Amino acid sequence: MPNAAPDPGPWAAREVGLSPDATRAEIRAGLLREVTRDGFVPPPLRQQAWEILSAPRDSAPPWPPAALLAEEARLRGEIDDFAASFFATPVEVRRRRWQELSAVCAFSPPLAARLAALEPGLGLDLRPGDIGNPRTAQLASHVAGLFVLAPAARAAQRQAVLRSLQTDIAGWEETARQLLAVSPALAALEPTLLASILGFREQQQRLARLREGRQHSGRLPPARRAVAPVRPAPAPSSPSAGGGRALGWVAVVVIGIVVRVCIGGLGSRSSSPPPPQIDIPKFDPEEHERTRKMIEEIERLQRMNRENEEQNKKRNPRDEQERLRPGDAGPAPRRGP
Amino acid sequence: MSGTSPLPADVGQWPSDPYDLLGVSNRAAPDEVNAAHDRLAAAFDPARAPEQCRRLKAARDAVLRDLELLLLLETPLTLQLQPAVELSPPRPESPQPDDFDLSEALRAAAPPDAIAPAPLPLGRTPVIGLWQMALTGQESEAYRGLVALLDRDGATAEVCLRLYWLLTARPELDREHAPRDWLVHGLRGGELSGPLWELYRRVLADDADEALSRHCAGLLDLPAEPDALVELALVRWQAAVRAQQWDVLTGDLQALRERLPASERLAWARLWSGALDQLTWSDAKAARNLASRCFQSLGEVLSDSPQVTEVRKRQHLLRDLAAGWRSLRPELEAPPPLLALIPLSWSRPFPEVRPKLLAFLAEALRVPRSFLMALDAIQARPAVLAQFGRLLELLQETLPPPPLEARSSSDLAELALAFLDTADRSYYRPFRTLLLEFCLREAMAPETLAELIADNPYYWLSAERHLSAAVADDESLCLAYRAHRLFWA
Repeated sequence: MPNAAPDPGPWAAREVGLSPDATRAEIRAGLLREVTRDGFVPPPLRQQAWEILSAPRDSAPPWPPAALLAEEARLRGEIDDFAASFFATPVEVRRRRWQELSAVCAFSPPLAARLAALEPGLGLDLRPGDIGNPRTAQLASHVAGLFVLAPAARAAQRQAVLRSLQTDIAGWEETARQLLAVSPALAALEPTLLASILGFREQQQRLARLREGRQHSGRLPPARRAVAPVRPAPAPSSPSAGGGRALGWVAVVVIGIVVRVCIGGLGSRSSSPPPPQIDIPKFDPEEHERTRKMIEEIERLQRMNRENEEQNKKRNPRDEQERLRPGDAGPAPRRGP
Repeated sequence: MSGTSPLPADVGQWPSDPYDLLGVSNRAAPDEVNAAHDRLAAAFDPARAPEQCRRLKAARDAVLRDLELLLLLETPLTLQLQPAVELSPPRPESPQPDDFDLSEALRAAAPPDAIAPAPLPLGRTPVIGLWQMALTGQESEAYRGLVALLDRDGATAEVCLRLYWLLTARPELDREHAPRDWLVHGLRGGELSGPLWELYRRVLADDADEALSRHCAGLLDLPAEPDALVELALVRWQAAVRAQQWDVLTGDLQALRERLPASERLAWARLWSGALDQLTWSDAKAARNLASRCFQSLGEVLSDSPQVTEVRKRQHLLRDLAAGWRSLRPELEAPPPLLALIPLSWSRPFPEVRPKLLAFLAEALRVPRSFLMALDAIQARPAVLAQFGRLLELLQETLPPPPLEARSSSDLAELALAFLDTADRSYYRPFRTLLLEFCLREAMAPETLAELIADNPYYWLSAERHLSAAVADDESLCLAYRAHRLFWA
């Protein structure tokens, strides 16, 4: 449940045009004067404001929901202002303001969440000299600029930043590594940007290969060409289904042996897969790619096999119902060459 | 003394009453008051007789203020109300006897040690005079005077309204009564309409105990338009169901049968429907029995009017929703806080539900994948999922409008295709959790992604089904994204 809302008194005073420090006599006089002007039936929100102001201190009515909404909107604006000058504000002032806002925004889960998201940056003092060279400082500035944005704006801005860095992405990869080394706390504020920079070239290479493969094949994916579903569920008694299953197992065993040989050739004698390669100078991309493809192929065959097993051996009405649940469109056709 | 002025030069000899001083009546037009002031002031030179000029000006201002107030008080109150509030024509005011002696009334009402009330202009309406006393800080005397008027002339709307506001402003004036008592007192003397009814409706909306009180029940006997009776009954039933006081509903229905003829078909349809809105969600046997009787009675309302048809349709929707909701309650995957929102979303105004919805989202959205699974758990009951979708629509109306998409379609397409071509799409179910994470990270609605790939031949899930269709039809996924987007708006 949301925490208690702040004292509604200041809101009520604003609503009826009184000072928050108005005395009881001033409140009474204002109420009687204003309700007379309102024909004794003031607008509901104003009436609730008068009731809050007039009630004894220990039994003030709760916030009217509409007023709470207006208060939330007002505080949202204050948080936006705070976020906009977040790193330009000295750390101590920033922390104090954050605590003030957190106290008055506790009643609203979205505002509390937005402030909580800003908390990791409270203690960070962004002084360009501490961060490294101008290029690292520039990347740090991007990170800081993204960090203070709300998620939707951040996503759009991140893409714009990434686009601006693409012309020299190799250089920015290096800068990203430097930033991670010199200011890991700052880098952690926007991990998605740094991950995107560091993984950009690899992703582009993968995409290029995939799309090149599509072009070379000159064919549409099988599902597009097929008249019947790509992988119809085989009937349990079908000999071809049994043959397919056997073929799948044979393929798994053969490829498994090949992979073991490959792994053995790379120097590992363990039966578990080798740890991911992080030593870039010793890394052989072609070898790695071959291994990766083989592992993917094994996984695909294992999945296919599991699917066949599920469909043929463990088939029962509940499973069938589960398989046909709306939203589950079933397996995708095999992709690419 | 000035040669042309009827007033003596010594201001001490001037009448203390501003009306007497200016020589105007309490029905004078503002122009007359100004003219009288100008005529008298012309005899005095402001430099030589500043006190005389100040007194004349003060008298003019006081009379003009008075007249403005009088005008306000005599304006039909309906003019000041919100446009949505319909009021019956104002009733003729009780005639004020000419021989009413206000000071006598005040003396009678005042305790022995009370300060003597300030003299009032003669011949003016006592209610207005008393209210002016309240406006000048003599609230206690004004309150006693108004009570005395009430005792003498019976409850009138104008007196009860003023007593209500005086007691709101200073609860300590009368420890025996709450301000709302004056509203009920005034309504009993008239009918369920006008400013007293408008204020009392507001009281009832926030005060369940008052709604269930005996004096509130007594108002069902008052002359009233069918709409007002229905409104009074519904607000009482809302409180009664929450307090599980089923006899309130049966008692009120009995009273209403005598008040509302069967020919008031829409009113009866609204009554049955309003009772069902509250009763349907209760597990109490008495409530279930009452609900089935109400549903049957609603079916028996003989009317083909569009409004009645609409009420019936809404109740059929409620039946589906409630059935789905009940069947989900034993499900472990359906989170209880989400299920608790469903009855509230139907039976309570959204501003009351909103904080609970946001509290639920704050918890649920911590792990979007689990939230998606929770929505999947209720997806088998489309009415329940749709009701959650309606709640999100209402939430959206309370939030600032979303910022315009800064990215072009080609920017979005580039992101979407890069994700789709590198993600494992072998199986839709595991893939969609990755898709949700992508959509949240990149602030891209699943529906947008579906549109972007709709014509792309590489994203067929099977010969019959394209990925774009699967995503667009995936209501849980779309709702999970929407909830996140709204929460972080």
